[in-house]
Amino acid sequence: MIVDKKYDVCVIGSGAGAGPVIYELSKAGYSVLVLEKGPWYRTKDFSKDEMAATRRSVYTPNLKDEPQVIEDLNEQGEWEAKSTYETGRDFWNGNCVGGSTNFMSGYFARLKPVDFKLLSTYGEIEGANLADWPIDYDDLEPYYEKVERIVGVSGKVVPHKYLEPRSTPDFPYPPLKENIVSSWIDQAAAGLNIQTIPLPRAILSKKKGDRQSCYYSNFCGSYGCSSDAKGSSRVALIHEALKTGNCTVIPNAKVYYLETNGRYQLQKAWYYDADGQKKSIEARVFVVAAQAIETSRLLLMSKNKEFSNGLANNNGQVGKNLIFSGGGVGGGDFYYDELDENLAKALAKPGVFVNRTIQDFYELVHPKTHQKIKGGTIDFLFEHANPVSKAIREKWDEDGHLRYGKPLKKHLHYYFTKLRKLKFEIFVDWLPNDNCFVSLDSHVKDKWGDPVAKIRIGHHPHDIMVGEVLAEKAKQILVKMGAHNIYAAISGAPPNNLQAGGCRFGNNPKTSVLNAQCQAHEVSNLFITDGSFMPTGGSVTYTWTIYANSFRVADILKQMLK
Amino acid sequence: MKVKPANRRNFIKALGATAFLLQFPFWQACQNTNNLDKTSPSLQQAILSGVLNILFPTFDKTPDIRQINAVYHINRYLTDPLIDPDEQQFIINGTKWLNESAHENFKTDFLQLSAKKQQKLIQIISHESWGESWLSKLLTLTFEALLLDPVYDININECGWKWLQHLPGRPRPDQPNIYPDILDRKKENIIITGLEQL
Repeated sequence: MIVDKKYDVCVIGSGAGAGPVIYELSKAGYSVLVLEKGPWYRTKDFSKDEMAATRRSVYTPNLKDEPQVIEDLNEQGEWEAKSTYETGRDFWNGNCVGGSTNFMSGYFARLKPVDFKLLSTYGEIEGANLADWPIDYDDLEPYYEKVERIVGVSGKVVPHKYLEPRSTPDFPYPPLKENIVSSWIDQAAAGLNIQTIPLPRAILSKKKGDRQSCYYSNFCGSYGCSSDAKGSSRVALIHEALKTGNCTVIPNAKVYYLETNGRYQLQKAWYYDADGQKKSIEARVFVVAAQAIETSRLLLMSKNKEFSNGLANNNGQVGKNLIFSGGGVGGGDFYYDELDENLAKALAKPGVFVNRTIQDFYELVHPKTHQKIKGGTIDFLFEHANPVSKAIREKWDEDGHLRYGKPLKKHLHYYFTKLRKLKFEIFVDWLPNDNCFVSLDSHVKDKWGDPVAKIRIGHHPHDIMVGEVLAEKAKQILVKMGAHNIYAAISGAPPNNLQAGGCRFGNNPKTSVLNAQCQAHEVSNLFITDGSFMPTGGSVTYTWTIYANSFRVADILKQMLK
Repeated sequence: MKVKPANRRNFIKALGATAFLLQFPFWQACQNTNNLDKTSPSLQQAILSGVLNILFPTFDKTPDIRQINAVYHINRYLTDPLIDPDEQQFIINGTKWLNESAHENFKTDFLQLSAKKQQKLIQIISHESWGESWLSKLLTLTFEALLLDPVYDININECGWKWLQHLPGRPRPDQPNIYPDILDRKKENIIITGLEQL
């Protein structure tokens, strides 16, 4: 069978960190093998089925088969570890070819130059393990631009205080259609002297090759795209790689061990196939992009004589400094009966987007020390149209009691038909710290009998303080807009879909796992290209940066493989 | 907003050890256990229907439990091999605990109570830890029957969507891409080398 040959490159995972490497190296003529633990869901497999998207474990593993362990502070202030099978607290994202990019909303934002130099710009923060990146924004800018073109990003560049330098004047795809509420946000914010910006999306607003433009289904995030407008790694990159004839993908292939040759070089990846059989493949270079938590887990599981603490982990850094996106959510309600009939209809219009972001507060003044500190981003969006999820959120009344009977039915009808909820999301840096890391659990095993990832999810209180400042700004805008029931919830609870770190890159081999090329300090043919490399995450979603960095590493690999 | 107990399995286990002696298929479970258990499968079904009608009553031409096929949906949930068995058992055990509560509060079976006393009992258990959790789970499954796609033989004639003026997204789910059939993709032992294979 094909897998008997030795490949130029073996890529483990197929999401945002994997796709650009797969695409570029296949196009450059190298043989690329992709091992993806999840199945291959085709575009035709996707529908707007809430059962599959959110109610059952279809795009993610069953927690009984593949639990993880979350270590969180209990009421006594002690770290307490619980299996996700016990709690239902699911940290998995899209497990299939293309990974979670299939199900993202595609809110795309670049990091800014300051995000590469958090430590040297703002100084130490006690209890945080800040570090500057070993590369600058300028090193990544050409690859951000490449993502705009190849993956497809729609939007409109407008000058603003924190606009990052660009090599092109505007996005290659114009902005998507907007709901009338976007103009209301603009007006309210302007009245508060706050600038709003059109939010870029990794969604095509016009046809690109085999991919159709967005058809405004009203069910974007959490759902696979049926027009291929969404810039998933699967359709934007892996489909193109397959056209070269140089790319092979094995779905349902769970890699559990990376084998070295006794000379600090990787030679084989071992995996379970769909039937649970152990298989191995050989390659010249291995690229791991299994999403941050599982990437660290795989390295920690790959112990041998050379690496008794796990692959590339003789300095004990693998799994450390895991980060998420800090911040929280909030929102407010707009009642149709308070609006002119035409305005109410326009507000209720499904499908079209809000697409507004605010970056005026990317830098703040500390309320106590009055020193400059890093701030964050505010995005506005509608409440998701998922009806079951909406109903579930309305099960409890304002006093925390269960609604049922006639009051429940009356409330549901009112909630679904008389108002629309506008939400906001706050993104701030999740400061890396000693209480946020991945290790292997010594008790809980997955269905293959392997130790599962244990994830301690401690946050730094600074994240909350910054998040609350931004939430107040967002609430002021909602007040100005005339929203009702305005609320905000900033917390240290990590969003499971925005994870990075664990194998940070840096110039010092004692304090980092990877060098500036995302190559393991200790294993020269091991590269890591998911979000694991990030020592800090910026105050935006990570996906665009992960895509861009993977394109950057692909160029490095092309030089290396020559 | 309240959330479910942090550790649902321990929570469920802590509620009543005798009830968790059951290791048998769901509605049949009680026929095979000890003398403490007086509720038969048909009784459990009747109790469940009674509770659902209190949680989601018929009035003003709103969709009712029968129209959304809620009992069918819950039965399918209880026999789905991919659902956590402890979650399934919890639903069964709730019918028995409700009956026990009926005896504790009113000295008779739940189904023998007047409508008013049944309502009162539901109110009582909604303030107890197990009861709140059990009713919450039943409501979640009711919402699924009300608002998931009719391809699952629920939300009949889109009655739930029409009532709440919900517009479904397209494409709508259809065979073979509905749950659980779509999960067959996870069993594919394949090697893809070209788009034509997809």
